[in-house]
Amino acid sequence: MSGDRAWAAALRSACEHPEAAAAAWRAGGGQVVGLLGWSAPRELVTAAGMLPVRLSAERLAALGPDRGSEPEWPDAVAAFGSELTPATARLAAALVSGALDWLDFLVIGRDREDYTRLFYLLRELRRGGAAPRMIPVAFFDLLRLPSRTSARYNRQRAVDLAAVIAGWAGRPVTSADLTGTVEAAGDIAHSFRGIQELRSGLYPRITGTDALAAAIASRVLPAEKVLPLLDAVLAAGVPGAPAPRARVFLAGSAVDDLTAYEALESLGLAIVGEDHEWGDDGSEYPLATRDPLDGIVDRYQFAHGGAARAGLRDRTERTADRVRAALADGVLYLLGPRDEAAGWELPALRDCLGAPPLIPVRLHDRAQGRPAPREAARADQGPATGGGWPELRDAGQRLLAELGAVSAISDATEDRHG
Amino acid sequence: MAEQTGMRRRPELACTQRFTRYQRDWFAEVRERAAAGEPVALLSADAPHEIYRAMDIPYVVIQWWSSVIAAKQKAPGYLRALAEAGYPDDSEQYNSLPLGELLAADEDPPWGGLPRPAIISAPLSTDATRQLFETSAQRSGAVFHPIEKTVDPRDDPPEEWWAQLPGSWDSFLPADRLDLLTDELTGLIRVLEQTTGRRFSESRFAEVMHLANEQAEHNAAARDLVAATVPTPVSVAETMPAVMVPQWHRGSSWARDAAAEFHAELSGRVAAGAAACPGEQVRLMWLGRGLWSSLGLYQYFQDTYGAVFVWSMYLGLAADGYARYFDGRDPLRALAARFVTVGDELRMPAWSAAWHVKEATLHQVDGVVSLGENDYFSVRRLEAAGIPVLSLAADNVDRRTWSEDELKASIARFIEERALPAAERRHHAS
Repeated sequence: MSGDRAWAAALRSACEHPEAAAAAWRAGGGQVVGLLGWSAPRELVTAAGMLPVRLSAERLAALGPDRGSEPEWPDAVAAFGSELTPATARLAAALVSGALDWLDFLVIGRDREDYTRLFYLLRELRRGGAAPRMIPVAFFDLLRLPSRTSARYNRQRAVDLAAVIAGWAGRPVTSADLTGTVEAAGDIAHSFRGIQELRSGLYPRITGTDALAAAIASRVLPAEKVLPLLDAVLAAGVPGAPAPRARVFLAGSAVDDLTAYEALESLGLAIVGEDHEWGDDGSEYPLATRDPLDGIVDRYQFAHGGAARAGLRDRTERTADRVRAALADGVLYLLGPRDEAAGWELPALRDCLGAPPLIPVRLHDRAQGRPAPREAARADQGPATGGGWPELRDAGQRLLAELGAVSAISDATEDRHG
Repeated sequence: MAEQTGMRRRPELACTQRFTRYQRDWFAEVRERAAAGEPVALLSADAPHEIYRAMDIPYVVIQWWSSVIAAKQKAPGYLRALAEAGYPDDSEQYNSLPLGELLAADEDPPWGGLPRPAIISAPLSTDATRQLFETSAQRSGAVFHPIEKTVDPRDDPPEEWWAQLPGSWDSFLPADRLDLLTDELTGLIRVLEQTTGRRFSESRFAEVMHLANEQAEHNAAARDLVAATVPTPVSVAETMPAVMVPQWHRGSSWARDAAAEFHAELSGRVAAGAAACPGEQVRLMWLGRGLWSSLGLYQYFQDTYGAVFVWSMYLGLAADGYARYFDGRDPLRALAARFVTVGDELRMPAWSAAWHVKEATLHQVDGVVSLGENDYFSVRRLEAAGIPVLSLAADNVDRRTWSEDELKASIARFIEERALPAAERRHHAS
């Protein structure tokens, strides 16, 4: 974690400025497809020769008007708030007004029913003639039950979506195209397995912030740009880093804000893993199958994904496995302000985990502004780097207190590493 | 802390009291059957009950039971029990109250308490449905049978579902959605046969489907009568229980006959000139789930303003949402066509907004009160049709989110400022 960190700046830039990556792609004559949700299959877009850029409704909402989140519908939340969460309402407004003009098309994944309602809303606005500047939108109705009937339905939906995307691209999506994109996804996943190994070692050689930046950037940049950056991440992981005060795993709702990770790491915590949908430990990628669409559909149907619409036992057992594999001393369980599903998993995960402390953290809503004054005042007392996430730093400090003496933790961790 | 109590309704029909008595006797019988070792199912309102009916597996509807809990003022305590066990108490309250009852270990539960289910089944229609019911199943020792809920992906879904679905469901709906649910139901039947030892009779099932269609016909006739009659013979405080008790027995002879009885009593009242509110001035529509713990609140505005709630989704859906005729076609696929759309009628705006305007116009309403609904398009279309709307954010079974006093004040202001002027325009026009 020393030396030339040009790769880190490039990753961070991709995270924070997806529109710049899109502009660079379009400057070369390409088209850009926004993906809303982890379950929008990027492989289908890549196979059609277009650039998939995953969008974060929460991030766009937090950025403000200069990035197109508060366009001609300043009352987006008031208007669409009965249908959508505040962040998604603002994204809807941006789409309707044409403010996200760095996108050519949009695929909405069915991560959560808020996104289903977004699809309904955009479709209805278009039907009513209220969205003449909106880009074309498609919806991917991914089902998550691990059954054959759902698998058959998902394949039909993927075939239909591939046809829509091919229409957008103006070229067919062939089996060879899909095979190529599956191979590229496998290469990227291989890099992320390496990153996960380095960040979860006894002396973590990559920070959680850098790992998250790499994971987000890989959803924004084309493979030929992101792979060299991932190589640089792997090469930058040098030995000699100090032992962290404690090793923490983030579970529960998703967070894609690098400053959230920095807020925890500024306390001396090492974020050795996460199970939320913006992270990537390299374990999930499409396998090579005779029909490449099979591997792509399976990758999404059986993904860990988010808590919404997921199975309880599957997710808690897999999360507990990841916590153990990362040798975490404790877990911070994030409860997003609009994530109704995560809270239902919490007691089951606690039972499944056993010994490591698990601290719930109720996150503030970035789309509705800054934390409450009481929380902000508390934030002023801490390190400057974590100013936007006082609830996380508070939870990190509680975790440290619960874990007890620093030296004892280090000894215990060393023992577990053998 | 003392629990809040709701406003009791004044009876308007004789049949509702008979239905309620039947429901109590039926529930006692379910408890006896459970105690004797029979498997009891706990089903969501949007699950295909007809399969269980055909197989004579007794079932209790989750949302009905939640409404009983709410009506008995037990919801706050059961929500506390959820929170104390580490579960959310502000999510899915309509579905989570039975779990709250289990966790609360209440010594005096409503109607003797919900028997321990052997089976829980629900479509995965919300973000938390799967975790919630998996949790409920784990805690109660039941098996959870989830059912997929698909989304209509068409760019321009046709709107007039209420006219097309009963007869033309197989051409009106996307085939792959029907294929999926039909396949899932086929698998569910096999699993239920194996786990309960009951036999699924195709003949019995077809009869159940016919009875459900006949029940829907009686409900449609009743709905049309309410819509056309000024002053209305009955308010939603009466139609909600009068329709929903038989709805939970859909596919039985008793339910079909109860719906006929309901329609007949309404016809008698219309013939006799009997009205819910003889001085009816304003006709109102209630969008969203009902205030089951305070049905008398609906009648409060009859006394104060001559304002009558004439429409709720309960009779509306009972009239328009269930009939699926299958002459010569597969009745199981017809059942899939009944349930693949459940929820779309209410929450997919291409359908819900069009339907709300159609029903509001049919019922000659002067104003709409919408509680806890995703209603952006319904509001716009109703307002564009000259029908004012009051939107309120609250959860019907969670009294922490509303109070009678607040609702009375908000609705009274709405009646005075918007609904009364609309009513006056209607009176002038007629």
